[in-house]
Amino acid sequence: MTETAFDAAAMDRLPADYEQFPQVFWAPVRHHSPHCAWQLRRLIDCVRPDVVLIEGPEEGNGLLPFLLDEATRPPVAFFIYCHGSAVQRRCFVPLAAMSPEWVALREAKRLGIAVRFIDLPFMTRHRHESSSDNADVLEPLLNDDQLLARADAMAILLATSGCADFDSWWERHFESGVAYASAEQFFARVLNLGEYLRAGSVLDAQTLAREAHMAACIDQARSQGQRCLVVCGAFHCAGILKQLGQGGVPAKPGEVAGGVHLINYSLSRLNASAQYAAGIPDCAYQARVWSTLARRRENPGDVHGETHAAMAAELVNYLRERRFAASLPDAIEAVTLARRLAALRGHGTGRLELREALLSSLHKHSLDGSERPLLAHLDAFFAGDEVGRLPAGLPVPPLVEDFRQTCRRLRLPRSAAQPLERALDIYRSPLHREQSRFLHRLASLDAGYGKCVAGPRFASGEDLARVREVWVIRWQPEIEATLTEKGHYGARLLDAATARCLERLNACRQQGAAPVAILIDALAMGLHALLGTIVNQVRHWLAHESDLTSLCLGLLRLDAARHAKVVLGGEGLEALDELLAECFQRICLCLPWVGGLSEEHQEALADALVGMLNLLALQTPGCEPASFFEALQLLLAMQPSPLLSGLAQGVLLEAGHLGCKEVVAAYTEAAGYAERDASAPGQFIAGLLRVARHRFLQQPALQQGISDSLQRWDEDTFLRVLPGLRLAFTRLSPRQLSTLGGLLFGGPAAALQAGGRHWSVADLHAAAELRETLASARQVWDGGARG
Amino acid sequence: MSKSKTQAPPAVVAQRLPAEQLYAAELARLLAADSGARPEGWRLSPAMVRTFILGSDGREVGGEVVQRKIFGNDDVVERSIVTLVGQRGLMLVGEPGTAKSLLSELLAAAICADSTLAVQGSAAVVEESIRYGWNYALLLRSGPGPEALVPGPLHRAMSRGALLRFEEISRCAIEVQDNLIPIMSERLLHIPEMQEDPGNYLLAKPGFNVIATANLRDRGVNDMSSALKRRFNFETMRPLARLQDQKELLLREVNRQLADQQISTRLTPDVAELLVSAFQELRAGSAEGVAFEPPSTVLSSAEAIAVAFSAAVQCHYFAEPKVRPQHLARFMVGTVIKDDEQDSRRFRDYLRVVRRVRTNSPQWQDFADSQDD
Repeated sequence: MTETAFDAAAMDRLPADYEQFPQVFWAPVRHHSPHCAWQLRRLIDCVRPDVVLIEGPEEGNGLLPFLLDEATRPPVAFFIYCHGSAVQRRCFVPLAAMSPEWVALREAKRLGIAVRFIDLPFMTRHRHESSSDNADVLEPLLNDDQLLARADAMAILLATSGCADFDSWWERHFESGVAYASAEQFFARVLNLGEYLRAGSVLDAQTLAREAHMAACIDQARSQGQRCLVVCGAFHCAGILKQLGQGGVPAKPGEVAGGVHLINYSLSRLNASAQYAAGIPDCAYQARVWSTLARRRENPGDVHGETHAAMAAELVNYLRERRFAASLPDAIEAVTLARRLAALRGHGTGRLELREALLSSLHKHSLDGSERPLLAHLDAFFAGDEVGRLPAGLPVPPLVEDFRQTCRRLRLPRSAAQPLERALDIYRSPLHREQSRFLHRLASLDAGYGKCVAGPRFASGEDLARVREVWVIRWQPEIEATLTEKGHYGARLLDAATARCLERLNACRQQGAAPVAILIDALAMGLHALLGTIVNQVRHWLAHESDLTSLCLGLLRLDAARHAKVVLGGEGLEALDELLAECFQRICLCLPWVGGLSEEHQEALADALVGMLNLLALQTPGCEPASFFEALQLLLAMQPSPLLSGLAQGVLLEAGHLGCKEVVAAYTEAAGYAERDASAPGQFIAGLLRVARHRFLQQPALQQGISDSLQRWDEDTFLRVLPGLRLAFTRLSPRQLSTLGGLLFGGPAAALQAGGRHWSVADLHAAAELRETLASARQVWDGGARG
Repeated sequence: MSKSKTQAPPAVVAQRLPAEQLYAAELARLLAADSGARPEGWRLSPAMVRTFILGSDGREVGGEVVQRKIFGNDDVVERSIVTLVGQRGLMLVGEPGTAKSLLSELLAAAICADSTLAVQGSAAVVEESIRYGWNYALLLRSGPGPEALVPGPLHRAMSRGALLRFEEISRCAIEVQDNLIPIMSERLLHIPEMQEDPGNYLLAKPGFNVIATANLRDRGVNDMSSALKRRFNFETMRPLARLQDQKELLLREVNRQLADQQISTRLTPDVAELLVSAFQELRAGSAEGVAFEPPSTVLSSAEAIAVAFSAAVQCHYFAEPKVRPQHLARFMVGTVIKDDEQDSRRFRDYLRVVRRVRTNSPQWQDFADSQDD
């Protein structure tokens, strides 16, 4: 089927099969399409069915009274979730002002027509899902258009039409490009499109199950003698038709625990989901088109032209508020340009033409990346930020209610506004400490309410000198949706954070991972009742952990937790010191037996050993220096990797357990392996310099020893070792490198004089010879000498 | 640029004909077949201008198929056409070698049948070069008057309702560029030397507009004032992204130029593909996953055409049987790399990488062997 097959004569009638069910009227739609919504309203007014049956999860029927409440303003969404031992699913069903489903609900209410959702209950869908369905999607939508947009047949239509993508194609054929004489004609074309795209598509089990369920629901209505108007995605009509009259029975809801809520939604959120859900883009634009269409019953008029004029003018103000150079003449030029562009292309003016025209008239440079700020503004403007409104009396999940009340009590934002920065003095202010705990609890539930941008990080041991936490806080409707979803953790935030902590603890136990980070998080959240449980688990982990790197990291975290306890307060943590000492001793016992570590793990272990050294330097209780040094000496006896060898040598040198001669001897041995392992000398020095930079600069014997080994290498070996050495010496600061250079070249190189600008003939000959030698040596880097 | 088989040879023998003369027969056919509405002062309707530039997709228009002349920038061409209908000028920007000047010429040829009303921007351009000058003998004899006035491209474009082409506008001093500001706003050119009213100003006829081109990131360019920018719509010509498009353009243009010069040597598709691949790799700084430093020079389709053409001409005049990759590499040093020693080194590094990673390809080895010279 080609582009030309969309001739009016062929596509303006329903296929003959649909005549079997004259009491069923079809309104195949694209979700959130304003023209579908407008034509649907016309159709309902014309047909006056007994019932309007809408593709939407049946769970939504219980909330219909709230949805139909006059106080409810879109965008809103159903949020449905189910959870059990084997199932954890959630989904959103957004409804915006321009959504055909929303319009169907409102129009049915206005005309006193019964209405209900007839799609397969969400909580039964897991029976038909494949594992990859929406596996990595952050916000899975039920009412999406992926089946339409990603059908193989769509690719053929795009290729023949010259349209870049499904959105462009849809826009040209159904939104702005073509005028339709009647709603019947419009929906006949959409239905035929759905049939065309469905042919050749591979249908998954869930789609078939949904269509069977919807067909069964329609049959139920038909059996009661009702004239039904079916509002569903265009892709599904053929599938539903096939199963009508087959005696199917609607699926029963499963016994999976879950819930359905009506939540606030936003146009920006709907817009963000458009990409992966093949949804209508630029939702604010679509909503504006709808708001103009909604005032018209019969003739849409130049709805896009009017929308363009209004939005272009508003865009100019929007840009100027953001200090972007834009003026009304730019808006006028854009609107005029869009109209001419559409005329040249032979179709009606639409969103795409406006976008192109705005870029041409506003951007005063080439498209070399400099247009990104303008495009970001355009995207945000056309996406919109309108937020819906829920009616009073709507059941609010207890967790959301607790959140609202706590925000009120702690004087934190509870409505949409710009991000707010708050500095919390967690050391001195009880109110600030309580706010900090509240924000940490929300962060543990990934609520998205606040983000800590500065402050002491106890888990990593960074910025501990800071006394204030700085949070950026912003209320968005998504937060309450997230908390609604997390409602199964508990009725209060304290309970939910505790349950989440326990969940993480359980995961740690199953994976055998260290739970110390959870201890620190629990302290930050003020979950004092949980601290004892976590400490017990830390003890259990310590008793069974054998991986040295994990033990070292655990030790550092235990110290951080000890520090955090002092700062944040906490009860039941008396055993921390004892655990820290135990961990330290276990590390010292395991250290000599480290072997066969990968390079990545060696680096991690080296970092961990440096951390342990810092603990010793701070005289941390439980960290016995003697045990550590003894362990390092045993480690050296076991011939560890050059990196660990250099590091251990450096530590013992600093502690006075080794002299320079021994270190030089160890280095010489590592350097001896250069022909086999060119990275060995560099790694040794890197390890040494990690802990003994100053000693290295102060000990001429060390420098001389290393210099001597350099002299012993031939040129090829030196060139191979050089990259590792260069990397190792990056451990020194520029000043230290300069000092080292002075120390090294102040001696033997003192004989080299700058010589001013007078070169002898012999010097020039020597330089020419050197150049030639270097040129042939460079062949090595150029992939081999010429044959 | 291709010629129609039935097109009569142009009357004037010249090294290069303006587009309206080169495509005179085609434009006449399009004019005869054009039933669309035309903006005032336009010779063809916007839709027919589009057909002239982007081709007729195999359909016959006026009895023959119209060949495409601009590749890969259909939306830019469309927006350029509709911009020129309005009061704002058209500013074509983009990297060198992306057919900005060609598009400017084709638009002028199609819309007003005259692409010669052009100013080539440079630091030496002064006001008089753009607006009008004087015949000093007549000026001295009769004083300032219409007889003594020598109209410049801008004066002629305004008086005829035609398009002024301003190439490389950013190479002119900002003061010179800003001469266009009152012209674009008021569509009026003051001639203060002519003291009598109404002779002391010229009003633009319908159809007048300005097409400017600029390489905004090149060396030696000046800023444009915001006031001037506001009077133009900016359109960016993109380099051809698809290798197949580049190859097709290269083959067509080089072989056409060779045919025009009555040179029998032709560029073959395999050699063309090698050249466009080499250009792409040099731009990207990577070949077969091996990174190298890319040259700083421009590597556009125009440069590729120049390289291939030069190589073919050399083969023809120096009795080489066919164009080999080695010939291309030699001409790349002079045509593309130019005089920057660093770029020469980078190009040699690229050839060494090619030699190392494409040992199984005789064509590429031949290409890399040029480094031995």
